[in-house]
Amino acid sequence: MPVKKPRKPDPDAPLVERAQAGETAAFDELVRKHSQRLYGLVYNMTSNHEDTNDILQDVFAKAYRSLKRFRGQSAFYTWIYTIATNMTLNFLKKRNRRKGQMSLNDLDSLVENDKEFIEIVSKGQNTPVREVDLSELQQRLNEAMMQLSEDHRAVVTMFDIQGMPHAEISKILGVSQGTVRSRLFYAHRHLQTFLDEFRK
Amino acid sequence: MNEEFTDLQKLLQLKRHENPGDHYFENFIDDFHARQRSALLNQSARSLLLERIGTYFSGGTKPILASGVALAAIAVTGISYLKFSSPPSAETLVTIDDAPEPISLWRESGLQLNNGPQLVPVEFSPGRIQFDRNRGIPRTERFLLPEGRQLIPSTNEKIEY
Repeated sequence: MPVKKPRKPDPDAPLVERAQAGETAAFDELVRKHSQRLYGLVYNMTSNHEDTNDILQDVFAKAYRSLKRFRGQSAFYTWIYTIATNMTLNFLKKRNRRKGQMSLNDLDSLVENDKEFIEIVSKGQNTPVREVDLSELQQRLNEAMMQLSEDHRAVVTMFDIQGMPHAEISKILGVSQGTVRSRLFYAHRHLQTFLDEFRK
Repeated sequence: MNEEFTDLQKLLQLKRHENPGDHYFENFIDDFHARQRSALLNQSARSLLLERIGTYFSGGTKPILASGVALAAIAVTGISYLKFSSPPSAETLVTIDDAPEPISLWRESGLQLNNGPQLVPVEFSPGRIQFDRNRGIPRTERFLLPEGRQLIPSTNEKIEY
């Protein structure tokens, strides 16, 4: 008989309880704690800073209104990630009808020290990047991402960019881990084809 | 795991460095509070009243809920009465947009048909007419606008068309 692993205690539980009791400072703390990662999720799905800002504000407003109904059956982090994912997917369905434009953030200066970046540029003749023009690379990557369906883009964002495990993604999207893996497989294949011209 | 796939993952991980700038997250909370306040101010008085009554009676029994609903209905009726009985002011006068020619309005005849009240056309000659948006058009002479026309605010006391 399979033994169910006990769930780890939610590190946000004390803040959530205080926020549910009406302490707005506790909710502010939750916003501060999660806004950066949630920003990454929404931004990498929309490729538009202004849209991301609006969606993120709406996500926290909705979470604030619904907080009393949060019963702690999942971690707060999973719960708010689910809200953000659903709101972003709904937004993208509407935006696709009016073809949104990209509005990209600059790459921060830390990219120069990034292990992956150094590996890519230090490969010399075998570099996967045709020429190391960062803004072109960024544009190309975002175009490739935008070619994916919203569902595929969501799993690539969570798995490849944000480093989330399959099990967590499956909980947030409400699909099986098999579906997550299969979406990742097709999304990677599509991205590899699209980014082929950067290879030499 | 093949090399192409590893390279793709490395490229994707570079997207972690697309950031909105140092001050964005510092200002995010302030922006959040400002939007919350603005949303609160934009909520109509009616929805606020209903929300407050709902909150007050939340968790109560059914009879209490019914009393709450009844109280809300009375309050909404009261507000509507006050709204429509307030004296007219220049700011609340409205006119019909873009109507240089005589136009037809429709008046309820008092007969109820299957699809709603029967409407009869009322011709207005060019001249002066004024409506008071707060007071509304008198119930006995309730005119409806032709499709596509709108009532727009005007500061003129007398409106010519």
